Amino acid sequence: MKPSSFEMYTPNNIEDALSLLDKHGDEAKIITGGQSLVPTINMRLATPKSLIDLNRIDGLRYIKKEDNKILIGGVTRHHDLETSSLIKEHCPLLGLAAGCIGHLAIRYRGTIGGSLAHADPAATLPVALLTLDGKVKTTSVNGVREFDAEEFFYGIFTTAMEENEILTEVEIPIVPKEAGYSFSTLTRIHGDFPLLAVGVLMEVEEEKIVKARLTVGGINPLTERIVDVEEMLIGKKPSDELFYEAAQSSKDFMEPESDISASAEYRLHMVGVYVEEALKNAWQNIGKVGN
Amino acid sequence: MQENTHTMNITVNGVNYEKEVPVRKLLSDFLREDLGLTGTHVGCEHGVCGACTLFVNGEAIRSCLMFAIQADGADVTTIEGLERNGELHPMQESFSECHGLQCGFCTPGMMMAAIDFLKHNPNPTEQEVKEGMSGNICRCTGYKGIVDSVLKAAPLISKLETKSKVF
Ligand SMILES: Cc1cc2nc3c(=O)[nH]c(=O)nc-3n(C[C@H](O)[C@H](O)[C@H](O)COP(=O)(O)OP(=O)(O)OC[C@H]3O[C@@H](n4cnc5c(N)ncnc54)[C@H](O)[C@@H]3O)c2cc1C
Ligand code: FES
Ligand code: FES
Repeated sequence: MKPSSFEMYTPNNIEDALSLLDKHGDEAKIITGGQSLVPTINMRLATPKSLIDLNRIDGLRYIKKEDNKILIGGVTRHHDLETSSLIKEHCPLLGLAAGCIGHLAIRYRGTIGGSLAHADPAATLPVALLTLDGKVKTTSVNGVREFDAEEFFYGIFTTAMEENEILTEVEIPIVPKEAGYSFSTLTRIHGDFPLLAVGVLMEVEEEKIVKARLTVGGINPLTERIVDVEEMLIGKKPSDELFYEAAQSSKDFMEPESDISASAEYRLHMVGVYVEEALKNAWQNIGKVGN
Repeated sequence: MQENTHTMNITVNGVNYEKEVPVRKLLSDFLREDLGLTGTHVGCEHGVCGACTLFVNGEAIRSCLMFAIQADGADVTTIEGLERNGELHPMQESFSECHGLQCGFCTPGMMMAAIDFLKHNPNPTEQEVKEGMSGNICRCTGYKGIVDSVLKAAPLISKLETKSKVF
């Protein structure tokens, strides 16, 4: 057997899960979809003493609308996100980001909480969370904490979460009907982890850009919005020239590296190509959210 | 060291089993070693190749990324469960007719993924088949025969009476 020995707990409610996690401390790991954790256990890169399986807890898998927000339970599957009509209507960018994760077999099991807690720099859901101005709620025996997307991610595989916390809910503000959006990924093979993922949200009033959010994932160790480029867009009239300039400027904030999949030069070039396309697409589909 | 085990109950291809299983045993290894169902193949054991794909509660998932005891109470269908009353499933027939396999290593996972894909897209284009099947790696065929097999199976599966469909 490939994994080293461990104990598995299958709590039926969140309270039991939280006290197990608190009791076992850093020797325990949460398991939800297992799509990132089990490979590392199989390779013995991770050798947890205990696993706490959240899959038997009712009430952590939901997508619902409350006032002007979409609330998503921590154990909601990628496949739930990509097929949800609420998400399609109110924040379609999130559904697109979930739908391009790996393959269907991965999306049936993998969860939003697992992906965000794992914080892989090439993951797509963090790009969506940042672009959509989402929030993350974590719960421990000490209570609930809430993070803005910007405060949540620290770097490669690291977040603001403590070891005794469970990611219990994600909150996405409803995207106004008059906004435009775009989400795209660059992959070498359909379904691979992306070399590059770009998310854009844009609002235009009286021919001027009044709101712009731009996130690039897959290049830097920390997926972040490019605030300087967003500011460059605001107050301007949308045009091909503006989007070209903004895309070229985006490259100044990227530190790509060369590896077996692609050279640093190629990655940097493609940031320019993809950001330009994404800005154009967002502008062109303004007013089409939910249609 | 004493192996840590749990007792679990699982239905595989319609047969119910109660078994004591090491906690760290993967579902793929449990099916192969404890139940002798060696039709499920194991390639990479980290979710990338698709060889171990099978149905758990109606969804085609990677059995190398699930611990056997997580399938406690589940209904599992492996490649051995496709044949009904001595008759091959249309997916098996099509793979046989269109040369969808050579060495056969990827084939069980390919067929399970293909059946699941057609559930979502019963009448796909060739390009859609290529994308839908991209999670499964084949080292022999060059994929042409596999894509042809899935395209051939699609209308045959749509015509099956619901009760004789696997899912
Ligand atoms: C072949 C393959 C291709 C993939 N391709 C992509 C891709 O293209 N894009 C992409 O973004 N991802 C991809 N992934 C990763 C996939 O998205 C995983 O589903 C996701 O990263 C982890 O979610 P999970 O539910 O499976 O978490 P698990 O694997 O169960 O856990 C991952 C980590 O998060 C912790 N954790 C899990 N849930 C919680 C929670 N609720 N609260 C606190 N901590 C928690 C665990 O302790 C563990 O450390 C791929 C995976 C595979 C196997
Ligand atoms: S053995 Fe499971 S995906 Fe390769
Ligand atoms: S037939 Fe040999 S790997 Fe596909």
